[in-house]
Amino acid sequence: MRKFRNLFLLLLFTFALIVPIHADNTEYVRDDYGELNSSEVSELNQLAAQVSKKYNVGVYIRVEKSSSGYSNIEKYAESLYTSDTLGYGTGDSRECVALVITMSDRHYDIMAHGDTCNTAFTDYGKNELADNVKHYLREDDYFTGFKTFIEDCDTYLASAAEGKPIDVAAADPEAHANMMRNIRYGVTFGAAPLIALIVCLILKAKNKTAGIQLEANNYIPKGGVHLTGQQDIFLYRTETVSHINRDRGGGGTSINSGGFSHGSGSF
Amino acid sequence: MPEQLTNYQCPNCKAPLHFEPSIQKLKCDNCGSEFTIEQITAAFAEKNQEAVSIDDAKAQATASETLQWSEEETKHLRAYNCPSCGAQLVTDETTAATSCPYCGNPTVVPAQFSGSLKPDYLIPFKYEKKQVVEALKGFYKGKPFLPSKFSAQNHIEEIKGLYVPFWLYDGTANGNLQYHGTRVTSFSRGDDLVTVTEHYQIGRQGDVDFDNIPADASSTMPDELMDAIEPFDYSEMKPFVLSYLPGFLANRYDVDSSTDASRADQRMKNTTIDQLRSTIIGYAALLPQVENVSIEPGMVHYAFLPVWLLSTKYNGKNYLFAMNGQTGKMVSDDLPVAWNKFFLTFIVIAAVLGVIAWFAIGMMG
Repeated sequence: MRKFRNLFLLLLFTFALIVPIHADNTEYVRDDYGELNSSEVSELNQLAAQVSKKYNVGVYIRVEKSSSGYSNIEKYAESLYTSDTLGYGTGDSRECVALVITMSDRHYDIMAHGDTCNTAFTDYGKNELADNVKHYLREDDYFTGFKTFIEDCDTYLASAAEGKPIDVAAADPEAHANMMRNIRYGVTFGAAPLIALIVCLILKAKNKTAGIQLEANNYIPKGGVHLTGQQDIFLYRTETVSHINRDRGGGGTSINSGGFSHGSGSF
Repeated sequence: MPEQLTNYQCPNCKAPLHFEPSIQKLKCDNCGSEFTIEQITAAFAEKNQEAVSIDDAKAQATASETLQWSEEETKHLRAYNCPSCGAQLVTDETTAATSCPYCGNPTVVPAQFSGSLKPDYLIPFKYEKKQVVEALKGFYKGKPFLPSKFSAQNHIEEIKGLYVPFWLYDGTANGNLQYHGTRVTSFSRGDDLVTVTEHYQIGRQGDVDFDNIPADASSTMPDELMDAIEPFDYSEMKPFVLSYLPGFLANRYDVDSSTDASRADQRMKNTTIDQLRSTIIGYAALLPQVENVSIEPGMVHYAFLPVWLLSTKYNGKNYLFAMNGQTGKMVSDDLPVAWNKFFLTFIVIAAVLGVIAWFAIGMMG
C-alpha cells in the first residue's frame, strides 16, 4: 500500500512538472516545410504562448509549401483561421495575428482578426513588421525572422494596450510635423518665388522677337522627304531590379468583410 | 541725252507714279489715274533701256567730282541727276530705287538691274504705310513689361518700305544617321521593380528636297530681323519688272550667293537631321553616333522681297522693327524692359502663390 502511495505521489509530481509546459498545447508555430528543427519550433512555441497569454490573443506562425487551392495567400491564411481554429476566444471574434509563408513562391501574409489585433496591427504597422521580418527570411534565417515577428507582436500589442497603436501618425509625429513644416516653408518661400520668376522671364522674353532661323521646314516641297533606308537592329538586353517601398497608407487598418486585415507580399 | 535714272511719271499729267499695294497697280499722286504693271512696263521699256546703257563708272566719277572727297570716301557713292528737277542725288553704290529729296519723285536706277544684277523674282508689297503704323500698335500688345512711355509715345523716327535683296536656294540634302537607342519596360515582381532595357543600333538614310530657302543678300540688313519675318508666300512671287519699285526703296545685293550659301546649307542640314530622326519612334533614348549630311546644291534665285522697316527712339536709343510687307508679320530688336513692372509682377505672383500654398499645406498638416 505504501509502495502504491509512493508511486502515486511520483506520478503526481511528474504530472505537476509536466503540466506547466503542456498546459497550453496550442500549436502556435507549425513548420510543414521543414525549415526549423524541433528545438527551434519548441522555443518559438514557448515565446508565442507567452505573448498570446499576456494579451489574450493568438500569435501564430505557419510555414507551408504553397497556398494551393486558393487564389492567393490571403485567402489561404483565412482558411487556416477557420480550419485550424486559430485565435483566442470563441466564435467568429477570436483574436489572432498570424504570419503565414508559402515557400514555393516565397510569399508571406500577416493576417489579423478581432478588434484587439486589428487595432494593434494597422496597415502601416503590418508593413513595418513585414519589413523587419523579411530581412531575415530573404537570407533564409527563418528562426530569427520568426522570433523577431513574435517579439514585435509583443511590442505592437503593448502599444495598442496603451492606446497608441503603431500607425502612420503615431510612427513619429514629430518627424511628420517637421516634414510638413519644411514643405510649407519650402513651397511658400522657395517654389512660389521660383514659379513667379519663371512666369516673369517668359513674359520678358516677349520683348525679343528677332532671331536667326536654324530650320527650313517651310521650304520642303510636298513629298520632298525620301527615306531610302532604315535599320533597327537589336543588340542586347539588360535587367535591373530595385525594391519597391510600398505606400504606407493614410493610417488605420483596412478590414475586409470577413473581419480580416492583411499585409502580404514576397520575400 | 539719256538719263541715268528713270522717273515713273503719269502718262496723263506727268506727276509722279507710285505702286499702290491695296490695288496692286501704279497710281498717279496728282490725277489719281491707275495703271497696271504691264501698261507701265511697256510704256517705260525704252527709257529704262537707255538708262541701263549709262556706265556705272560715270556715276562714280560724278560723285567724286561733286563731293570733292577723297577717292576712298567716294568709292562707294554714286551721283545722279534727278530727271524731274535736275537736282543731284548722291546714293550709295547699291541703291536701286529711291526718291529725290528735293522734288519727292520716286526714282529707279535701271543700271542696278542690268545683266546678272537683275533679280529673277519679286513679291509685291501688300501692306501700306498706314497699316504698318497700326500694326505697330498691335505689336506692343501682349508685352506687359514694355515701358508705358515707350508704347504710349509710339514715336516713329523713320518708316520706309524697302525691297530687300534675297538669295533663294534650292538643294537636296542626303543624310545618314546612326544612333544607339534604348527601349525600356518595367514591371513589378513581388516587392521588386524589374526594369528591362533593350539596346538597338538604329540607322536612317534619306534625301530631303528644299526649294527657295531665303537668305538676305544685303550687308546692311540685320540677319536676325530678316530671318524672323519669314515665311513669305512664294505663290505670289512675280517675274521681276521695274514697275513694282516706284514709291519704295531698293538696294541691289552686296553679299554674293556663295557667301550666303553656308547659312542655307546649315538650315538644310539641321532640318534633314530632324526629318530623318522623326522617323525613329518607340525609343526611350537616342544617343547620336553618326549624323552625316551632305548637300547637293541646286538653283539659286535672286529675288526682291518686301519689307517695312521702322525705327523708334526711347531714352536716346534707337529700336528697329521689321515687318513682312506681304504677310504683315512684325518683329523687333530687343525692346526695353520696365523693371518696376517686372519686379511688381514678380512680387504679386509670388505673394499670391505663397499665401495659397501656406494655407493649403497648413490645412493638410
